[in-house]
Amino acid sequence: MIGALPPPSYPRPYPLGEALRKKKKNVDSLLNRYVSELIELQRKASLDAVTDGRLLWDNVVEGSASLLSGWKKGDLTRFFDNNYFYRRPIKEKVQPLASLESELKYLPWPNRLFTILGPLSFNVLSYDEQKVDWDYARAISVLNGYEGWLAIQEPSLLEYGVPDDLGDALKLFPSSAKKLVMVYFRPFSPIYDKLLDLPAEGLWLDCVSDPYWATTLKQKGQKRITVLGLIDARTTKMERVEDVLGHISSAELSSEVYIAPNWGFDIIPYSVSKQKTRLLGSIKKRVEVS
Amino acid sequence: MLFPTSVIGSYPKPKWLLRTLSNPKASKEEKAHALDDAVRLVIKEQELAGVDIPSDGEMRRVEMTEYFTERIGGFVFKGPVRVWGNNYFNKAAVVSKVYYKGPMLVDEFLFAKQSTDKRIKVPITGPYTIADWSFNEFYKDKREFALDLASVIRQEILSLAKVGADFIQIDEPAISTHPEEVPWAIEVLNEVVKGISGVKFGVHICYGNYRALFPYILDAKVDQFALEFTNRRFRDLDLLKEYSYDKELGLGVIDVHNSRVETVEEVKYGIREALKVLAPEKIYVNPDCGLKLLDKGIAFEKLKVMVRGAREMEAELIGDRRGEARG
Repeated sequence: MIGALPPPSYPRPYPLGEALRKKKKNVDSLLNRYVSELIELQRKASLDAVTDGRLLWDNVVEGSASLLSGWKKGDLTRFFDNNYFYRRPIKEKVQPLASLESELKYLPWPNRLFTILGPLSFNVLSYDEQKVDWDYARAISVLNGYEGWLAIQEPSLLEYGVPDDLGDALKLFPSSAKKLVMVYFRPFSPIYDKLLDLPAEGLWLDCVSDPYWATTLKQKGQKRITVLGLIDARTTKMERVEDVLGHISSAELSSEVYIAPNWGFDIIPYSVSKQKTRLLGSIKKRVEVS
Repeated sequence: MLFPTSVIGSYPKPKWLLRTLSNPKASKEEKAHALDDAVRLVIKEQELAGVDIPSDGEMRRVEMTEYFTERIGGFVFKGPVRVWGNNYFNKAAVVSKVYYKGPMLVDEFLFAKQSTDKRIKVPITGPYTIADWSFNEFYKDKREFALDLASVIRQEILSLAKVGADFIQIDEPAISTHPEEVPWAIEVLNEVVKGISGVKFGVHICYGNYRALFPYILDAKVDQFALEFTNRRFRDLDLLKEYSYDKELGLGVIDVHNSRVETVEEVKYGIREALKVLAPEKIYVNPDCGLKLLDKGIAFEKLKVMVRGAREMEAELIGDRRGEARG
């Protein structure tokens, strides 16, 4: 089967950003409005999971850190090669916060999609240490009992390779979740074998950044779930449905496959993120018909 | 003079200016007057702080790429995108071949020039950064896009030089973010300045991987690189030594994303660190980046501290030299 997943995050709409910046009283009402709009949008597009867009997270680094206590904000740092920045979390004594309930209040359904940084990328993006952050991995017990899709963002794997102990760290993530290890911004083909060995239900692969993705999947097989990041989350240029369908057929896919953006929609305009969501829906429908 | 002080470009806009600009009842003339007043004010503030080479604070610009993509042919705006926190810019997409529509900064420079006796620095966003921070819906690749933009920016620089601009800073913060593109990005930069004389060219790069710049920036046909050092605790100064960097350095000694005002000692520490790798005559002193996101009063205090640090270091160094001469 071929389905479609939303991005792990959506851009914070400008009016919400302004309300937050000016500490206005209407933040909650704006947040409710935009989250409802996004959920409705994903449902109308018949996507196979629904995210609340993580609109209050400044970015996935600080957002992931916000699930934990015992850190403070550090230097302003560029997020990979994007004109998009985050405050580097400085670790003091990392502990899980009490509950994830408030984070998930908009997503009571089992087909929800939540996201968090993986333990290697958290370490790289916060302290510039290229090894698994075991304090962080243990603190992920904050997610215990979470049911639904869980996109574990590990872009640093493509830069530094797969550490030997990453598999053990990922075993601490909830067994109740459908875990997808998500890699982006560089070709994944060179480390695909190792990604296949990770203890997760699936892989979320940035096909936009890897010209050899189809050959790699054809030659090396797939995990139970493969998410193809074929929609470029960093450009306003709209993909052509026919092109995406052509890519899918060229890969000769055998597992449970989903089409998705290659990353969060954080740095495209909100209006374009909605167009790209509808595009995902159109692709899914065309696949179903064909 | 040792350690001349300058700014990167932007300065916080006065609240009354923002109110006037966003007031739908304010006429075009009222807004133009408010902008003129704001330029005079921020230049005067920089003078009061003791800055040797002020800018007009980029009062007339909303954002460093938006201002140019609005005035260069071939772009359409796609909507606001977030850069960090709740700071957005209106990001454009290139939808046809870019072209020069006419002067973008000449009036801005002429007004600033008549508002002070000091030398004025004119910041202009470089072709690589405009290409990287726009959505590409037209060009085959970024290099082709940047090369066309280089010709546009070059025409603007020639217009500025013609009316007397003699210190132009090309802002290229994106250049260090794609290491594999740095070699051709420097070639594009050289296309912009090729054969232009009588102008001091600086290049500002911040918040990226400085190691990726070397050795390529040594081939840039510019006089100065103004780099961010405070935010990264001066650790990249070693790169300058490693690669025998011999251009002027605009040394960032003020963190522009932290409202804590540095101490004079901290500024002097930064200059001392730079002196370990560069001759004093090569060092200019400036903040890490534009000041626009700071509270205006804090920006002013930071500049005062920066200037004091530079002047004290100059005095110490001259004192040392006199002592050495006597000894």
